[in-house]
Amino acid sequence: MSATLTNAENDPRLGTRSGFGRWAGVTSTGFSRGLGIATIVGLVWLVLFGLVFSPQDIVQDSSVRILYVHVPTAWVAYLAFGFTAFSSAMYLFRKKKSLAWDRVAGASAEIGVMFMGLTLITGALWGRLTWGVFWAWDARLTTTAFLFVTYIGYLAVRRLGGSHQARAKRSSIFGLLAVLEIPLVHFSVLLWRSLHQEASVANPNGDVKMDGLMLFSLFVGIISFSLLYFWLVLHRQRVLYLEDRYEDADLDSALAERRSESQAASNG
Amino acid sequence: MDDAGFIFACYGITLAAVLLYASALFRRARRTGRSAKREDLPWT
Amino acid sequence: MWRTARLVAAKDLTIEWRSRQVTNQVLPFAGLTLVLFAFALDRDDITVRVAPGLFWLATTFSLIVLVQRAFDVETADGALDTLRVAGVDPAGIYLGKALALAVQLVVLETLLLIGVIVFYATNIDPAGYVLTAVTALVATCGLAFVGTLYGGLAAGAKGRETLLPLLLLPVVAPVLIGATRAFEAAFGTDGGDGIRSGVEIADGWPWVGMLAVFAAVFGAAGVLAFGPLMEEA
Repeated sequence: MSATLTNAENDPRLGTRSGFGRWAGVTSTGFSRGLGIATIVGLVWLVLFGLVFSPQDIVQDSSVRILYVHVPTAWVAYLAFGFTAFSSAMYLFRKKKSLAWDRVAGASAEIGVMFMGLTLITGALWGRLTWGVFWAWDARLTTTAFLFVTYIGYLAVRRLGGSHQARAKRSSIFGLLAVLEIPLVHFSVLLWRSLHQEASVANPNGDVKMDGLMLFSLFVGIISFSLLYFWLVLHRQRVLYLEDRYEDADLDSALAERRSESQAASNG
Repeated sequence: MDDAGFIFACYGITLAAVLLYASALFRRARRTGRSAKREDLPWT
Repeated sequence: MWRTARLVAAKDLTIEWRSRQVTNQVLPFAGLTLVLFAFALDRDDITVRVAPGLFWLATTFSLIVLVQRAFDVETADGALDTLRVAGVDPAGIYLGKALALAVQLVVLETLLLIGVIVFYATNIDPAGYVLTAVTALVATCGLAFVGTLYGGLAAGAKGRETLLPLLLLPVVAPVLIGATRAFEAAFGTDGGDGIRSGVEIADGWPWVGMLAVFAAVFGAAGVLAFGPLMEEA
């Protein structure tokens, strides 16, 4: 690409803008900026309500504050994985295969994995505070860990290489297979754990009773994390588009170079 | 580590992770979108 | 489709028969894992009790090796692509490879069973023979279906040696759980102190049902998905 001297502010190439332009971000639009601001506001509210305004739980003391983060991350993780499955189906089962669905599936899965990891960490810390154990082998936790590993596998499948269409087809098939696996695993783990009805120290199924301000804080958490999820997916799939484009451009210019080389060689 | 430590760890880890991810994302956007013209992009 | 399946299975098994790679390498590997388990667990009364679990763990690990092999055979000289281009029904290829894999698994499991009886001093209650055999057969079907499907997904790709375990192990978790519980019921293993483990043979059959569902689901998924997976360049 030739280096032309242009006025930095008018340069249509995004990476070179100066001043406020640099902060504008390649993948930003008016909508995404609005969404981002709403997200930040929501998260600030969450921190305030979660850490300061909401009262201590009678039974569980302060540890319930962790739930204001843990439950939203879990919710987002499940939402993300569900959306990946949905997008995989949208890609696979339409006549005209649109790579946009594949990108959304990939973006959503990546964010889902991150939030699932956070869910496992915050959950372990909460469990340690409340029940004295970091982990318990019950159906819900085990399925959660399983989901985590499965979607790490999904991300690995996406990186197997090949054309964008090949990646899309492979990933979408795997994504749907994952949806098939999950009920099977959950069901078998459920049956398995029901064999072990001994009283355990930790009863992870004992749900916390919340009301009033506590419930509101949780609500704030879920809403703001949902906004955060959409904002992240929006940007991530745009970046995926850029990455694909970058990869293609690389290939194209490499091919063009080779072609001109061989031209020169045959002419020279 | 007492209760408060655990709680702040949770909030901290979560927010830090999100911030790190977002900044890495934007860095990558700048890098791969360097030569892109605004009109070419489907979201503008 | 069935004819193709028979032919493909025969091809895979003939290749194996000629090269003896499974018999010479994978079976010893499986036996080795049994021995290593004994080293790690160190106590005879424990190994007896967990013998079913160790059996299926050894089988699962060997499955990964078997699947790698099943598809390395194809991708080595682009054999799979040739088959595909020749217009061979992909569902037939899938079933054929799954069948060959299942046969190899059955051989493996038979030997592992002998190994478990010998090394872990497991005594199988004769009343549980049927349950044992049926469990092994149904579980094998599930493993073969799932292994062939995921093997096909990763076939020929860079980094597939490390990818395949990551993909396969989570998926076969239900088989591990179900088959182990069924074996525990079938073996009637006592805990080394003369007391039955408390699991009745009848308790094993529901698990076999679950294994059958698993096999059916993945068999169907494989037949449907194998074609599209093979199509992409």
